[in-house]
Amino acid sequence: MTISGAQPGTAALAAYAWSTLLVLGITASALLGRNVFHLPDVVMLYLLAILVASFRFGRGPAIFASALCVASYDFFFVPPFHTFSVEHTRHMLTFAMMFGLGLGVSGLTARLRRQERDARVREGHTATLYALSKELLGVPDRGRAGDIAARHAAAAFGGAAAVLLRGEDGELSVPEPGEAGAHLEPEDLAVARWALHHGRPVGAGTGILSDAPVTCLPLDAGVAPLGVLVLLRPSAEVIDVARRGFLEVFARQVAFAIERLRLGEEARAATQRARSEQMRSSLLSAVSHDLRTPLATITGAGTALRDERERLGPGQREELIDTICTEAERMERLVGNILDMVRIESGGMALRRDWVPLEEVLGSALVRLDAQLQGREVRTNLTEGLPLVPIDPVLFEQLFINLIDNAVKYTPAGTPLAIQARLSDDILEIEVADRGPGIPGGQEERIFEKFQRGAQTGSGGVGLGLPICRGIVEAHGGTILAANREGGGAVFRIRLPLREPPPTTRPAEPEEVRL
Amino acid sequence: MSAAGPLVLIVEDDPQLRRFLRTALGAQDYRVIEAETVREALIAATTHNPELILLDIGLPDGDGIDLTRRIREWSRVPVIVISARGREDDKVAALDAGADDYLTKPFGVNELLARIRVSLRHAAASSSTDAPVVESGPLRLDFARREVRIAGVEVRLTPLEYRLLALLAQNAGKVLTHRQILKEVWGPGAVSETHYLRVFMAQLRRKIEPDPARPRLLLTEPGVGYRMRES
Repeated sequence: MTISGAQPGTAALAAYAWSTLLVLGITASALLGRNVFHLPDVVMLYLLAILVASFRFGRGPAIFASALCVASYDFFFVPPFHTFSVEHTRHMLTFAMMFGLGLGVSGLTARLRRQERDARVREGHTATLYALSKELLGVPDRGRAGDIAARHAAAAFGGAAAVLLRGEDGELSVPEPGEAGAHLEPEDLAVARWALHHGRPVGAGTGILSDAPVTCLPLDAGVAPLGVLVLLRPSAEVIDVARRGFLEVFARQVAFAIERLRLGEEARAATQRARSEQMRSSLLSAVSHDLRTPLATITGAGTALRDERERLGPGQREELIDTICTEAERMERLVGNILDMVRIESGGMALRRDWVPLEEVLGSALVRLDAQLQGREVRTNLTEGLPLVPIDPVLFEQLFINLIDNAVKYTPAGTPLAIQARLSDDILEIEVADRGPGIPGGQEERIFEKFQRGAQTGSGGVGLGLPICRGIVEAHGGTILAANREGGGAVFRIRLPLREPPPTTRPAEPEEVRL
Repeated sequence: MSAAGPLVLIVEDDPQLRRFLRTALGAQDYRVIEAETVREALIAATTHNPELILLDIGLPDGDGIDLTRRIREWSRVPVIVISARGREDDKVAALDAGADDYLTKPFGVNELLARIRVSLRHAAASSSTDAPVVESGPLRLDFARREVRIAGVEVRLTPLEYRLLALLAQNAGKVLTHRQILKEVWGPGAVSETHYLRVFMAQLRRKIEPDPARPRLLLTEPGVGYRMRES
């Protein structure tokens, strides 16, 4: 893009050579036509050569060409010929005008050329900044923004570039050696840290630590530097004064993008904090009420058995002991639910997916609920040939237990339950349906909120069963919805997309061996 | 405490849970010794030579999984680990380290006594010859004749299904991890292929369970393995 400085030796030399050739050519043609041309025509020819040299070869060669023209004109065309001496002073005036014209025109064209070049550079800068801001707009997090900025910086300034962000501790977080991006030496990092802490550009071309192989710019969006843009071995012109301004604008644009992302992250974290704060307070109230109630019963019954033993009849003792066991079981369920909910809420629920037949998970849930399901018909209908499904078997068993337990709690004793599963278009659909009173209108979503209990309270729940179900299903990438059934009752529908095909099992043995 | 029954070492740091275990076992004529830490447990195990160890996985000075492994270096004494709900990985690790069974806190006294009885019986059986016939509910498995009957009716099984059922029957009442079963039935190369096991278990249930949707004989221990119900 620029000639000056790029390859000063050969290019300039060529320009001077071309200028010389041009003047020689003009001189030769003027000599050939000397019988036809008058002196003013020759002067015009030389002026033409000066103009051409000015436009084509830059300022130095043009001045050189002017001098050459004056000399040739004097030598070949001004009497006495073939000497540099001059008879009439008026010729001196011609020489001066020729040379002066050369100076003036070449100065003008040089300025034009420079302006044109600057315009092109500015255009390049604008395009760079535009591309940068466009790409930064859709970035989700600061790390990605840094990578993008580094890529653009490397393209715009040559060499390699890295963006180091300030971590929570106020220090630059340094990428692992294996990570993508430019490799930084410890000395480079020291320079970058200086830039962060002093909030000033430092390194090559900045006047501070100019010997460093890097140029570091603090990414400052007005408050405190958010990180540092590090240019490794930038091309020489980056450091020249003209481009420093652009470099700073570039850095500021990156800083603004990162600041915007930081504020977004902060806002999200604040919302999350507020939600978990709310969660904690609802949890506290649930714990204080729902755990204290069974605890009170257990304490009462236990102390009665210890302190009033003689006054209690055998039937009453039996009653108290039963109460203790029942209430302890209730507390166990509550504690289990609360722990599950906390695990889901805190995002700490690690899925242990495995390829499992749904039948097995449902079967073990039904066996665990044997006592509650006494006297109820449970129809299970799993489509024959249902594939293995990639689920966490422990969590899915919990899901079935919660759904079935919920149905048992909110439907009259003896009413039937139906559980079915089928596969349609790579989506596993599971339904748990009952014939109870159904879900009150408009409550289909609310029942999945925490601490929402149905009308029949006193059934021992804290209102966490269904939220846990939703948490489990969503952790698996599925959805769960509740609706009322045709013909009465509620139905819970789980839809779970199955993305990958199940693994092949070893072919079952072909021969049925008589054992 | 009459000094007649088997000697049980209780390794538990919580004094109340220890008291409950001591009382419940004492009432069944078991003799009981107690330890609160891994260090005490190792000393008690070597000096008293207990016939069964009840071991809480979480101990103040180390974990029960490691202790199980160290005990297994020199002893085949049955070890039952006590663990919390949601810690399936711990249970599997303890079982694979050589523990015989586990109890999930909280547990009832019936469950406790049943687990201890099964473990003691298997420990005694492995030193003599295995039972020639195992019966559980409607199932009757005759090892000598390689014959499986459900409520008197013979059931035809494939060789793999038979091996799977036989393994569970030999260990009736005891939990077996997926890994243990895969290693025994499919071989050491297949220990992580749990889906083989699950598919064959489903087939086997369809053949021998009266209601395969609610298995009564071949029980699933979610996240851990399988257990055949004791007769």
